Amino acid sequence: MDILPQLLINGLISGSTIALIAVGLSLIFGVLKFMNFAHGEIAMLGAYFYYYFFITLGWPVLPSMAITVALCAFVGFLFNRFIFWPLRKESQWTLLIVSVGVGMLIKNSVQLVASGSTRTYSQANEPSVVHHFFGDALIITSNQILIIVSAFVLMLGLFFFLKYSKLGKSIRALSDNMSLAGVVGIDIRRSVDWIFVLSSAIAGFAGILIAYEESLTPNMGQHLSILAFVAVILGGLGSIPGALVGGLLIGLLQDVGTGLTIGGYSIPSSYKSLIAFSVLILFLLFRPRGLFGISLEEDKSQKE
Amino acid sequence: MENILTIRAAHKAFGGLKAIDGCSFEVRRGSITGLIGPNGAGKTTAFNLLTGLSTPDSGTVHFEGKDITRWPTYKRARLGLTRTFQMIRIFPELTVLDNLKVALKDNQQGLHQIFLNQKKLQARLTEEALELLDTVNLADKAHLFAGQLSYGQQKLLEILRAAAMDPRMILLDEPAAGINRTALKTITDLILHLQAQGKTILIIEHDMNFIMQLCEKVIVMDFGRVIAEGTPGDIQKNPKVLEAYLGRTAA
Amino acid sequence: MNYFYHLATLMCLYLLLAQSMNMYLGFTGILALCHIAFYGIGAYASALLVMHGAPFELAFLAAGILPALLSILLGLTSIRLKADYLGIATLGFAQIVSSILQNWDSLTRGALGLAGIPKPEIFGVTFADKASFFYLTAGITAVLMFVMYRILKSPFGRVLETIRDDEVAAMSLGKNTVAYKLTAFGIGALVAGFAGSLFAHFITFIDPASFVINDLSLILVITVLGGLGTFRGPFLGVLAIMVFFEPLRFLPLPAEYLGPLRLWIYSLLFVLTLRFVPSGLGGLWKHRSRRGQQFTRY
Repeated sequence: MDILPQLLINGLISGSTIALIAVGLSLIFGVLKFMNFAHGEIAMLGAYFYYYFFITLGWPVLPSMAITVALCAFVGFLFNRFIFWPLRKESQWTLLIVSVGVGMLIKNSVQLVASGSTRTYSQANEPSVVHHFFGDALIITSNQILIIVSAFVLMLGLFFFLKYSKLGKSIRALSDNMSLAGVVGIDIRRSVDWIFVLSSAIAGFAGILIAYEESLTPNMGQHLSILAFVAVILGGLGSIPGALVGGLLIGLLQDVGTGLTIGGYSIPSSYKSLIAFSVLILFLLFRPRGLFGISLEEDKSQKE
Repeated sequence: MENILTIRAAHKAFGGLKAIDGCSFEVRRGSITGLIGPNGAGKTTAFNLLTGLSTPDSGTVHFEGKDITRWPTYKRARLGLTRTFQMIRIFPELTVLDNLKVALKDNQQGLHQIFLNQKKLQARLTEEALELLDTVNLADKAHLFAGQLSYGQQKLLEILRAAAMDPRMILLDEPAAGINRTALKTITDLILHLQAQGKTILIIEHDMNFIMQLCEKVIVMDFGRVIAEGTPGDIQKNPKVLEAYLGRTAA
Repeated sequence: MNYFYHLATLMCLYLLLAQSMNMYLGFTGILALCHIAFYGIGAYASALLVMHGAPFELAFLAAGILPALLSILLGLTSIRLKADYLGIATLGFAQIVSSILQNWDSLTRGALGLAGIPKPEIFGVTFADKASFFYLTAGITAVLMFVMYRILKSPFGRVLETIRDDEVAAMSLGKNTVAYKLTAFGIGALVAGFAGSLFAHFITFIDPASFVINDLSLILVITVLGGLGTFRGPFLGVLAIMVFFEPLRFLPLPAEYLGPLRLWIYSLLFVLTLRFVPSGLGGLWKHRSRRGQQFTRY
């Protein structure tokens, strides 16, 4: 089991980025009551923006990150203002299928502009510093340390933001009860705009982090959407801490699941996505309310 | 076979909230029974348990002498137990006529029946549906989409659709809410007409005049259980009932 | 002339794909996003069977039945779920199928794909050239479309629409909605599998990349542009796409831009249609009701 610490760290890295996407998904679900199929595509978009500024244009790290996050936030804002918000009174079904379309639009745009070929940051970048722990049992690059640290700082920041800031409080009020929030004077449209800005910014940042670890393809967005979904379901619908924990768990499960060899058997890493899918199906069958959230049945009866 | 429907010692909790807490009552065959109580008393949840939209944590539901506690909704409906909803649930993108035809008993809706020549049957079903619509003066609206009807007309259509199934018992969830006086008269007549056909009716309603005028027996719920039952006259004098309503109003 | 037959054959396949998806998506309201997976399974099943010596007739049947069975299995686990859960479960299923096609080298030859798929031979007649293949495809399409027409216009089809409009109400009227949904989903997968078989023997080369999610945009845009839940929708959708967007192929642009450009236009069209004309071209004929006022629909 020498390999276990390494697997845990790898899982933590991918898990923390999934968690960041899942939180945004959960926030959007809270107000508009639909799972945004386009959300993972925003992360993909972030990775490509960053590639453009950081590698192609050769800007320094921080300005590249700042403009990437800002652009993602802006894209999220635009799609909300012109697509999702005007359709909010339609059925959840309509919103869902529209978000599938928006996701395809983002992906095809990237494919058109950046072409479908695979890219990696390291192509143009010198290999990063490597740290060894426990002899050689655990190898972490400084990039990976940065990823984990920044993801956790961001999560903490978000937690305090939602808990204590004025905007954060109105966001929570909104996801609790939209019509009531309007009555007590919260500007619903503005708050929903902010939710999209915020969650798209976080997803864009997660995209940057992911691209440090994996190669970029326009198809990665959909995969990220699925993982984030599974995280949200795992953690329980409508629960922000749940989405965070769910994201970490799914990352850990994937890496530990494909890395471990038990009794001579192991899951080939090419079937990594099978793990997330199996977890999803198991949860949907046996524990639809997730680890922390409320059940679908309750959700329905409250509406009635 | 006095009672057509019985619910015994039912419990249902959502998270920490006990929506139904030891609820028991029975409904006599062929009667019109009222189910009243303050908001949040668990009336609609009780309807959900009776029709299988949710299952009780404990307790039983019997209909026509059969234990249907764990039956799925559609099987209960086939046995003759159907309902309407507080929030209208018609099929907005189907025509008014099709809303009824789809519910009619004799319709051949199996996949193996798609190649049958159904011309005669469908003509007969259309006839039947139009007759039903005629009883509430909606026949001229038959070819509109149900979503185009007014609120009151949609409510009527929903009750009519339940009746089209020719069930033995219909549960009506607030049939009179938000309805004007003329439409209210039509709904009252329709309910009496259904009773005359031998159907049993259970009604949730806040409009007390409506309940007192129609029902021979009234069941009062509060905190997820039955606190009183009896004739409308008894209920109006029952101090527990007054307390449940007034106590809630004061708070 | 060969180009015409080629195009006409593709139109038939798109028509089949769009109508079979419309069956569960538009008429029944099942938001499943794995139509391409059914299509791919059908194509691979048929190609592999014929390449291992099975007659085309048998391979064609198997190409439909296999995805239909898989759709029932998938449906049993997830068809009761709310739309977002079902959407993600089916999307996950599509990813699994594509990763199996890519990684099960001993059977599917992985990313290399299957080359040299024989042209179909039915009762001793080989449909080798473009024209005869078109007639075969058109014949099969006509039969399948007729069957789907009967299904969707029958009382059975009417029940599917009630499930789309309000599943709880349909249950309360005694309809076994789960069985109806599984049937509609299964038939959709069956027809998609048939289309996949025809595609494999038409193109004679398939690889996992032929069945990636990209092509879902095309089928979705055909279905939505034509009008969800109308039988004429897919016809109009296919026609619109072929007449207005097929010519894009002849734009003086390098090939690596043309493909993505078309997909980009399709997805834009898809979003704009849903945003501004949700009932699609087919719905322009039909006066649609206003919905979503005092009731929410799931």
